[in-house]
Amino acid sequence: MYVLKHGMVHTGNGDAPFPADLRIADGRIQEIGRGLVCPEAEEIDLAGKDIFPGCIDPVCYMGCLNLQSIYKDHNERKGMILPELRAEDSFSAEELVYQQLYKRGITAVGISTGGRNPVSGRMMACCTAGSSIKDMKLPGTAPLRGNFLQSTYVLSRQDAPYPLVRGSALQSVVRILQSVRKEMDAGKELAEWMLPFRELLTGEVPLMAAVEKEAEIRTLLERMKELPVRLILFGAYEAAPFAEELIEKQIPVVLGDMASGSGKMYRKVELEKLVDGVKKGLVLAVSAAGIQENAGRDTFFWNLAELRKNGLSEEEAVTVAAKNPAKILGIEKETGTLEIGKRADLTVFTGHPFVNRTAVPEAVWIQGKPVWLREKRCGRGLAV
Amino acid sequence: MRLLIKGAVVYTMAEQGVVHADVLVQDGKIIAVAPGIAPEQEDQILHAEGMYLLPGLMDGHVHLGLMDMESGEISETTAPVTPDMEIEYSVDFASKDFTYCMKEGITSVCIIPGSSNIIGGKGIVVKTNCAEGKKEILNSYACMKAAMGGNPQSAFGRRGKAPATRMEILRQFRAYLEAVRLFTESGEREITSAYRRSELLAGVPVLEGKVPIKIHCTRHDMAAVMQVLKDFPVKYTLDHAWGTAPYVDQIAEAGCGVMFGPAGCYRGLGEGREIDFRDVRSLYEKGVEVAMISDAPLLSPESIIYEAGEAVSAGVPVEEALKMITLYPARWTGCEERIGSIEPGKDADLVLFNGLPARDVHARVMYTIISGNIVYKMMIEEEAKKIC
Repeated sequence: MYVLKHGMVHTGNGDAPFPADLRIADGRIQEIGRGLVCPEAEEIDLAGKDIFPGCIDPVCYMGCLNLQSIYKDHNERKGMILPELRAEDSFSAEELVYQQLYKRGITAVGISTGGRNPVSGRMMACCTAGSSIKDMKLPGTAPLRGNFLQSTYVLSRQDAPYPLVRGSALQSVVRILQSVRKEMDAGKELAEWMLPFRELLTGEVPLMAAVEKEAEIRTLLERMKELPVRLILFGAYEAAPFAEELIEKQIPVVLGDMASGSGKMYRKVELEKLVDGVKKGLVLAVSAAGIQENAGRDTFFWNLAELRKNGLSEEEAVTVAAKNPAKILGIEKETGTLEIGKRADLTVFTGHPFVNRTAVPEAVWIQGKPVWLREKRCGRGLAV
Repeated sequence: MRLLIKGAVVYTMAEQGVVHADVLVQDGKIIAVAPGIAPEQEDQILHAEGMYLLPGLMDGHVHLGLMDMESGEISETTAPVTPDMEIEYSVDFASKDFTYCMKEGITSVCIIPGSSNIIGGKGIVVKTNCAEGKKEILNSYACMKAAMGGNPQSAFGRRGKAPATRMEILRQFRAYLEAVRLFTESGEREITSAYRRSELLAGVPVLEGKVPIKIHCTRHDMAAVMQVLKDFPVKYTLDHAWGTAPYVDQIAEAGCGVMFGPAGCYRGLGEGREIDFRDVRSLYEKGVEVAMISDAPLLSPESIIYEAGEAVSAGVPVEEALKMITLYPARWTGCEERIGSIEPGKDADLVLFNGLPARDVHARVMYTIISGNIVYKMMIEEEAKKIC
């Protein structure tokens, strides 16, 4: 049991930061308040430090890539629409931990299948430090990953007869959803292959739909209009013109990596409009992953800085970095904000990292345990 | 007409350091940096109170504006050593890439050939207002591009050609420099090697220490190439320079520059295994001049600001980190006399931010000035009013 004393608490809910103590036991935050006393707990003095919920990158290929091999584990080639596949079956804890995301303050990710199939598989939320999937997987309903953009077609035409264009990729998925819905409406017993689609239609599982161009986003929203599917847009560089519709329908947006391949330079990314959307209720998150490739942990923060440059406030940035992605991955009951009852997934910084680059992580905690301490200066005798 | 920039906090990157001062510009040049400069009647005044004024940013290692990246226009791979190739012929100076740079505060870039060749040819430095019909090349021979390691190996070895190994890469690299030395010693008359005259001539200013070699290298490739270059009186930069930690002392001793980046990639297994900004701090502490590079379009051009920010997070002082995207790239591409700092006599390539880049996360470009002309301003009405 620990009590973190005298830190400045940023809950991630958008509130103004306030000084408070945090009592942590059984991996969770038990109490938040002033002057907490608990004789049996180890006290850690965090005066002058800032405490944040751990950041969450909702889309991450690292951990199911198989880096050292030319045979990548996130893009199956047996067919095109593969909702039966699960990213967790390709998961390598070693590969994810090797990225040291936690050292930068990223405590959870959404492990994702790749960008080459219209439906490439089921994602998995997990934390970024640990030794096995057994301890790292987070409970919750992770999205199914779909791809409705031209780069999917460019990749798939190499060895698949169909689909040849993004239109038919979307059409195939919409048709399946329509026919499954018809069966459901008729009260028929569903074939096994239909079950993942039923989960989409009941809203139990959301669809993480990768799209980038304005036309792709417009078409997706238009064709999916009649279907009760919970959409999340990923990549979504040109999503700004649809901000109003996305807010109204509560469709979250995961803005993909903008640095690699000069993504921001070659696309019409209107960050000011997106930031304006956030202020009106758009659920926005960022990722270090692009549609096909993953950048590194730094780009996650560069993307956030791009939003800060365009008017996102520093506390809104905490929400975009932690609370929103938790919601997107269906793990908001577990993590994403500093609240009583949630897992103690948190970071201690020497300032506000979304204000000043001299602020650096001092300690990173996952599920109530310190997984990293800078030069072990924080607390006494904590084993890392 | 003169332009007077009033009231900004000026990061001069020169002896004056950081000063609260006015900057006066005339005929494309900075003519004064001092507090309280009195305007004359005709002067255009830019009220920059609360803003930070920096020299225009520079990226010392990009492949921007190349006519067609996908077709491999970036490297002439018919031979591994092509020193007389000039990248200028492959660049579309009207490319929107340059306009984008301008908006992000980057006023000069060093465009270089790719890394498929052991020696790839000549790089240039151009101002980024070139797409506005004002092409200004600051240095038409800013560096000689060279590359070690995996890139030449795969570009040639994969096709069953030499080099297939690092051994052969360095043998050819050495052989070329040796041939230039003999050629120079003969008064540029005798050719005793298989290289053409134009290829040898390209190497002459390199061996004279006037043009630096810009060497794509990482990890142990750095150590090997520094060992070879001990025998030649050349200036050089180690570009990319990932995995520097074991070689920091050797680099400091060699007296070369380092162009670090692009960062932001995931931790891979080969050359990109260790990209660590603590290395930048170690190099700085040993007195090595480091410049940040985006390798654009590999990374988006503004990434150099984020890289400088990473250096700050790793413990490099902010002013030093800002020199890594202004003064040092200018110095190591032979442009220091014209750009890289805010001093009387230098080109008026300037950029105003609403916060201090590399320190303040929200900092963005408010004005970009190239050769004394405002080429970009952020169009928020309030801000626009400040120009009288």
